[in-house]
Amino acid sequence: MTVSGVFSAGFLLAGAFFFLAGTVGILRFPDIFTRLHAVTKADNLGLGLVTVSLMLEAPSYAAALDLAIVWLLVLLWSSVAAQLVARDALDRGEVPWRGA
Amino acid sequence: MHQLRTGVATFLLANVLVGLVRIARGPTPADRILVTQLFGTSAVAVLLLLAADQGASSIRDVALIFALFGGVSLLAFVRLGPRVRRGGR
Amino acid sequence: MTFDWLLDATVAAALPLVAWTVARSVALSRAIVLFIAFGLLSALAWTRLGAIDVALVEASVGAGLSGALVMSALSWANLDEATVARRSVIARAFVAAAIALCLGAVLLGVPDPSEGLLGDVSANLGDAGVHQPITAVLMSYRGYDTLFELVVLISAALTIGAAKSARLEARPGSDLLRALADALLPLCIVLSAYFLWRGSNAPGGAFQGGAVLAGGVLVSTLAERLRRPRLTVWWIRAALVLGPASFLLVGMPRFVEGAPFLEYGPQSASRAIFAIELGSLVTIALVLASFFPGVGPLETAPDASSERTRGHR
Repeated sequence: MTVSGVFSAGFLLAGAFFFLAGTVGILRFPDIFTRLHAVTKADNLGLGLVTVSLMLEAPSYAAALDLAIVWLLVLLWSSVAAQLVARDALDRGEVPWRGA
Repeated sequence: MHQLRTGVATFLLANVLVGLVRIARGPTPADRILVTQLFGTSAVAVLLLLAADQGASSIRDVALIFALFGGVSLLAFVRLGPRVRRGGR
Repeated sequence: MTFDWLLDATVAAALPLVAWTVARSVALSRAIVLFIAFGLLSALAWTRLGAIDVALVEASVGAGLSGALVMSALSWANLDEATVARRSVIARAFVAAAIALCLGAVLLGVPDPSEGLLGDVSANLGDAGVHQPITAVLMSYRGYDTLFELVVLISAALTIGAAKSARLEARPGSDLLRALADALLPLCIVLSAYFLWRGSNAPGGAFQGGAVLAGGVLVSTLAERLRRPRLTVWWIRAALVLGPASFLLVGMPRFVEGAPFLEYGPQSASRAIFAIELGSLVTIALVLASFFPGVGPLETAPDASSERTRGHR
């Protein structure tokens, strides 16, 4: 395997780990706000690392740019979405968890 | 490399299916809708991985669509979703 | 056992499982979110089957726009946590088993491998004017079909325009929403043009482009940056019929000369198809965008047009 192939595989596995972390967070965290936090980690870091991995192996600069644009779009949406859901939850009267 | 990508894609899919549990549990509609965010992003990741194969570059367009539309139902929920009184669930 | 097989098996197993959870959900919000998940899985399944055009539409319309539409319908019901009534399990199991048996019989009866019409389609692509077989089928081999489908879509938009009042109330939109809409709408315009252009050579075309444009319009409407497209405005009506109009414009000159209606001729076929796809894109985008309610402020005064505003019931 080439050097870039090794790096690519590494980034890919790291990205998969963050996706797993996102799901674990969604299932285990105590309230909506903390769960939102978990989801956005999967969105930003998980997809970001997967995208980096694919960009290393991309057949052309155009394809790499294509990948980057997709990731940036997801970033745009997920940051806005997290804010919107959090504000909406606050408006509906959700109280943030204050546990030990 | 193809096997690794497909393997990770399968793992991400299984990840999504596990996340379905949060939809079942709730308790609020907002908890359920945030899982669609995870779905959308995982779908983008899976599709990008599939698009890296030879001759499959048009799959990247499907990923682009998912990236564009991933949050639309969430947006509709926030703006148009079930009307709940302040302080209620 | 390769991972390809495992991926396909996971998708194939997940589809009926998620469909079952949708059907058995009592809480509507749960059913809706699972329905969106089902749409995502379907798009993935279509991709694995090699039907990228269908996957594009499933992702945009099936998972994205349909999810938003059903979510807005939940608001229409105006219940805190809307639920569905439970019906007899035996009856449902019986119906499900009967349908499964019939479908299975049909599917297993199909000869394997079945190439269908792929050979004939590919052989005649040169005359069709486009290189993408799906676009060729939609616009060239079965152009009449597409024309009448557009008419059906327009009648759906007209029906919705006539049947329901057009606005839901919401808290005032935030700067964040407006920033999102301002970023997304130009992007959606560019991307819909991209899909329209790609349709000649790769998966894409008028429907995918129209769905993307409708998504941009929907986000802008939800952010209160744009008014919802209303049929009371004359140029909205004109734009709505642009699809069938472009069919007629392209098909009439030769028809008048004596050729069959919508015969393009090999030299001008690609230009003719592009013109028709452009018109169809506008129609499809407007039809899809008109399915959604507009969003208005919480305190509403009757406005100049004749549309009614509905309050909390």
